[in-house]
Amino acid sequence: HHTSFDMEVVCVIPGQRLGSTTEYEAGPGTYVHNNFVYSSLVGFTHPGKPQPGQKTVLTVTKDTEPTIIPEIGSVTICKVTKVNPRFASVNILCVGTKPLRETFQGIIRVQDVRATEIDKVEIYKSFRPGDILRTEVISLGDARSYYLTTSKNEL
Amino acid sequence: MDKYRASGPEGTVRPIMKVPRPLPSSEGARPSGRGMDQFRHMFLKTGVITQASGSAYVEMERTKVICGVYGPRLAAQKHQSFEKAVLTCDYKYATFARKGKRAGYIPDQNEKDVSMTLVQALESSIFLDKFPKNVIELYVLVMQDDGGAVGAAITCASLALASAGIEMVDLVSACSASQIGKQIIVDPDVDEERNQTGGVTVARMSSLGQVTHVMQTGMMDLRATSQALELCVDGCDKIYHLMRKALIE
Repeated sequence: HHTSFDMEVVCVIPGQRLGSTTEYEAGPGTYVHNNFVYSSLVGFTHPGKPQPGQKTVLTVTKDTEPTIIPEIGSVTICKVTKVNPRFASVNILCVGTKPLRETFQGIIRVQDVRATEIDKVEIYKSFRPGDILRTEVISLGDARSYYLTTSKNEL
Repeated sequence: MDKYRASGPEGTVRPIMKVPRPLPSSEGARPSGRGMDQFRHMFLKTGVITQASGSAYVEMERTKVICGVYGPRLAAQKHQSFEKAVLTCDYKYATFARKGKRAGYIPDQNEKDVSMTLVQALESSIFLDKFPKNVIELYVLVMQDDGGAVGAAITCASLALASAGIEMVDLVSACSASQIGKQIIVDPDVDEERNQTGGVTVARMSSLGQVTHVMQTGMMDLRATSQALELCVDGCDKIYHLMRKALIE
């Protein structure tokens, strides 16, 4: 199954061997095994522009929307579903600019609402059910939901 | 002499082993006319369930299996794992799928065992640690079982996972072989499966050359088992090529 290609865009499947690690580096959509770079998705290969002194980065992208899940540090758009004196429950609708196919649950704790005077925050005065918020994911949280924050300046 | 307990028989007797009915044709050809190591014609298609994240349909002449993949999505509390995603499977025979007996609506013990088999065969082929706290759900429905349904289900589920865009190590293909008398036949249909003395099902990641799951039932000696395993490995490689064509189109 070994195929070698120079700057071509080729359709590949998971497990297809793309090149050796001496010439290529693994980018998103690929993985390394036994000194070879293999594809991990069904899609098209995109060889990156080679930097001088560095290896070409191989990326595999799918033609359909990629599966995304919220990760620590990602900015998300959420809609408030419930408020409670200790936290607000939200549905995470988009990660970055990409809408999620199925919404995830998140919570914004009272100490994460803003950066200053966090002991005087009243959740009901900051958020109401139905509000749309831009938040950042701070942790994977507990069993049910991700922990989010709105306390940064850009949010 | 206590009358409350039933005492067993005084002597012991060896169990009667099922005597396989000989294959109808005495030259050794199979009733369907296929050769001993000839697989049935396979048809594979992805994208058959539009509302699912990914889906696939596999048909081997009269065995028909369809699979839908939902996920990765947030797992309910009991399923969750913080380090990696959880793969669950719900394997079911349609009520009209099996010859002679009607399958119920609730999965029975056999279907639950096959569900676990599917999870074991496919778990190692997915990068589960890329999706912590999530669950990937496989729903497999066997619409008609004419032999080899478990192998077809593994192949179908792997194709569905790939078509959902879930990052995988490799595609998993699976096939089975049976021993009837002294013959090893590959890809048995349901009558051959019923008559077998022993059988082997192998699931394999062909590009990496790794077997993910082997299941052996019945009574088979070492020579027969190793021959059946080799035939299955070759078969898995052939099925891999068909899977690849189905995905690229």
